[in-house]
Amino acid sequence: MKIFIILFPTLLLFANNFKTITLESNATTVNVGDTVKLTTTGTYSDGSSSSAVDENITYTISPTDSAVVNGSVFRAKKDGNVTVQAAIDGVNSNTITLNITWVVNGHVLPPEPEKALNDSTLLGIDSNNNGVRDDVERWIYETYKDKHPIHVDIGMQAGRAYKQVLETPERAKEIHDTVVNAPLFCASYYMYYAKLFDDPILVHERIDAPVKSKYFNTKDRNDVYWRYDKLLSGDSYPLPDIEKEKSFCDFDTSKYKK
Amino acid sequence: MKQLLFILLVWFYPLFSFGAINEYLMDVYFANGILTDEGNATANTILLKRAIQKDTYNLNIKAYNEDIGNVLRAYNSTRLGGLDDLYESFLQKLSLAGWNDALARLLFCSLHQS
Repeated sequence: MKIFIILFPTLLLFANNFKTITLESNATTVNVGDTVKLTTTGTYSDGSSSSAVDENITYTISPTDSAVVNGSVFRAKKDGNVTVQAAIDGVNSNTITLNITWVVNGHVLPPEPEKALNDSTLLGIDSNNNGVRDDVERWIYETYKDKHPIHVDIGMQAGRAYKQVLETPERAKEIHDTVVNAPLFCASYYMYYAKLFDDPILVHERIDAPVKSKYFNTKDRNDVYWRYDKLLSGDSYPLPDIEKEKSFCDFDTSKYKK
Repeated sequence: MKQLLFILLVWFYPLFSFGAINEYLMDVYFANGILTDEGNATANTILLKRAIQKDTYNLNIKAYNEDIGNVLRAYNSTRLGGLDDLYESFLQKLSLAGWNDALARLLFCSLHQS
């Protein structure tokens, strides 16, 4: 019994004999779904060091839903900055920060904005300054990522158009067909008439309407839309000729040639 | 000189006006119903245009263009989520049923309050 009491602290000492632990990764930026190799090195009190064995390491990830670590492989789940810290038997490593990006068809999406802050102003947050509010841009890419890329182009065009409604609703008559309905005319071309002009039919659904409901998502934004809408009331507006519908697309349509 | 100018203007007037309105083509007007915004009214007008091309002209766009001129949206804004449109429709129905306008408004107000 006495022997056990003497040996027990000794055994603990052997099990936990790293003085410091260093955590490193082979990359600092990773795309959602991709992996990064983590390396943990322990330093003993005599100054020597060795790689830590995976089974003994626990990882703390913050935010917890952004990534998972299996063994020493870090897999990114959600974009944003994430911190990782390793621990072995109560000894904590340094904390490393990894930047997880969400890239769809080569386009790096902006981070999800904080909702309260994003909705506190009419225009919200557009961190990459591309004319489309960040939450809407992310929604467009998420919704249409598995469809033909023209869906994203038309959705983004609608986003840019609705921004103009929020900025200058008083210019309703000036912008409603040249800007706001332009994505609708563009979609109409690729839905009905493209074949007449040796282009492929690429669109089979309305894209502007769901983008609109995302864009005017607060009472203040909706009120501005109705102010714009009311200014159009009591007048009549011709649809563009089908030959001109394609010209309403504000993106490069040559890439969608047959 | 003035008389000559007057005669010339009168003579050429039909030529000038002919450029503005083509009387050989039909214009189609789409009037939006209740609970539609301008974007939906435009989408519905596009659908109407397509339906005419498909159902009446069997997608013969050349024949369609020989008959139809402009397809236009005659737009009236729907406000308050359609409540005012429902109110107007309600009054119209009661009016058609022979109700006195003031009595109809009174009934609507009491229904609304209840």
